[in-house]
Amino acid sequence: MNVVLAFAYLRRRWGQALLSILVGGLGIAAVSTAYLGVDALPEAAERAWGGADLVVGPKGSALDLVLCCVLHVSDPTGLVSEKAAMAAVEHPLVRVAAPIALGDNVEGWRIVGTTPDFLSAYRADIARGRVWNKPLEAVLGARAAQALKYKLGDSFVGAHGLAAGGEMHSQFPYRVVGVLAPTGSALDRLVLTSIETVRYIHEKHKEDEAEETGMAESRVDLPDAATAIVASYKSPIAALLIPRLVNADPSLTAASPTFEIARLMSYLRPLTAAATALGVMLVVIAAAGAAAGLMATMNARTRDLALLRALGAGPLSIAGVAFAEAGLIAVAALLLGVGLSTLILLGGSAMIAQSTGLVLTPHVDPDDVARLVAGAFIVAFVAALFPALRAASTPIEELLQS
Amino acid sequence: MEHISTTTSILVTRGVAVARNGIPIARLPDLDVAAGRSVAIVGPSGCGKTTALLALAGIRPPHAGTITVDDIDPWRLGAHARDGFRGRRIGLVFQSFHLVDALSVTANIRLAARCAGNPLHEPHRLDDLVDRLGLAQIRSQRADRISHGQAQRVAVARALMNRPALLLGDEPTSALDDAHAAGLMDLLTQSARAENAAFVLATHDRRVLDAVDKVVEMEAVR
Repeated sequence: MNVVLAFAYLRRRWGQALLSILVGGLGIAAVSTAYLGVDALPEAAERAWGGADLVVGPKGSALDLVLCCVLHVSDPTGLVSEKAAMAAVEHPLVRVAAPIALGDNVEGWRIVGTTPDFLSAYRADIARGRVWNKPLEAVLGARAAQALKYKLGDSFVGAHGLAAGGEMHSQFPYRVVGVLAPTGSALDRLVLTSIETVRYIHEKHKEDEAEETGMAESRVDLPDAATAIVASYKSPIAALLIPRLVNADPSLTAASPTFEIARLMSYLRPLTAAATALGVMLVVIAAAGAAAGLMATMNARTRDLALLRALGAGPLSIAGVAFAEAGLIAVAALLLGVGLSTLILLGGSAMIAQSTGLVLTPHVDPDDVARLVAGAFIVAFVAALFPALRAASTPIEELLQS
Repeated sequence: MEHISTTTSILVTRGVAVARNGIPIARLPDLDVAAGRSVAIVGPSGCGKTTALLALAGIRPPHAGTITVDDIDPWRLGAHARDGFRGRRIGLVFQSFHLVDALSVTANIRLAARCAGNPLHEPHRLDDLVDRLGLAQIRSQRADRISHGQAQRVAVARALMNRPALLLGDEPTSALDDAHAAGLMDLLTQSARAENAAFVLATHDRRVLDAVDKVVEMEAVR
């Protein structure tokens, strides 16, 4: 009886009910999106940095170094001498180290000059073809290959800069010789070639620029310039020792992806808390709106409720109408909120993956779902409590005497 | 006033007095109303008719006296049991019918069964009432979209839904014109007879007194 009546009453005041459902749904969506999204972020970042335990670059921000050279989402801040940096990480506790040189792209996908050891650092395998062994041979990361739709043997031309739209290096066509198996890491978004190729193309680019402008060539002082060195440890104990050794060199910075990502997450924590607080506030607003709506309609329904009493329904049963009404709003708000949250996470994940390479795979824990449902129903119960008590105490005499 | 005495009385009252603010105002003549018979309680406005009806319905306790409906004194039952007893054994028809506007005609009628915990196990009871009271055409319409005459019949169907032993009407005809008042009284008395229920009516409407078997007048307490 309660649900039938509650549904009929909600249908009668559908505008007000819809508003409560909408505000409640937005609140639930904000809470669940913030929770699930932020929960999935560290795991996505961990996946993105793959097997890289250490990155060594020029003196500067360690976080920038990780974002640029491990997650491949920001621009380089300078160059290091490959020889000096490789020497700094040469240690029995380092399993493998590879230099990387950035600066070009193909249709927005980064071209990374490196050595085959880079694949070893990421524990990556060749899915098709082989590793580069000549200049201008390229191996595509799994996602890059999928997006660029190049086959083995195809040629392409790189462009200057890390974003699409730069000046084309038309005189240096690359040839695809291999495609990597997916790793789930940033490596999937890269186009790899030999570090000598990248250096050579950049030297030629600078010479051409100098010739065109008639200005003296701004030659890089480092003939063995590299953007950074990416290394993988043999043992976790290396994490305590190697960065300290590297940082002893005043021209180098050692960055640990684990530590820097954890630091980044700590910066995001206030934002998460703000999003969660906003969500909770929306849920409370929705509950207050629903409670006010229930109270207002309880006044208008005094006769209906008295009638139910007259027909034999007990006070608890009458109170149940208010609870059922709030419960129906909670169910609708939950469905809307979870639906919205799913859409936001799906759409947001695609956007984040596109722009940062971080692939969010939110895990929905049954305990979290239970907490969310319980939370929504507790709020609905509290919202309906006063209207329900009022309904339960409806005097029947007034009905007969009116 | 004369008692209606039969061997199968549904409603029996003895020495029932009603009060307002704790002060006795009127006494209901003793009643013995058999199944299928009807009684009108009359008196001027404010004499305590409705208060007496509330006592018979198990809604407000009488100031004095005893009431039994179908051999049960509702005032000896606990509050919860009394609510249930009223839902199952007493049908109520109000002056303004009090249908729930948000519900359809059939949902309004079914409400009586649901409020009383579905005491009958007769799957066709609702359809039978709808057919008998000429409501088939409007069974799915919402209560606020039907005519006054149709609302009367829905209210009667709801009161009869649980096969009550006692049908109570509180001024059901006072706002109606002569023709409609006569029509409603016919419907109530015939329905009570058909359902084998005792019918007690509180009214100050003298036009309808010919339709009932007996008329009793509230006695003022001096």
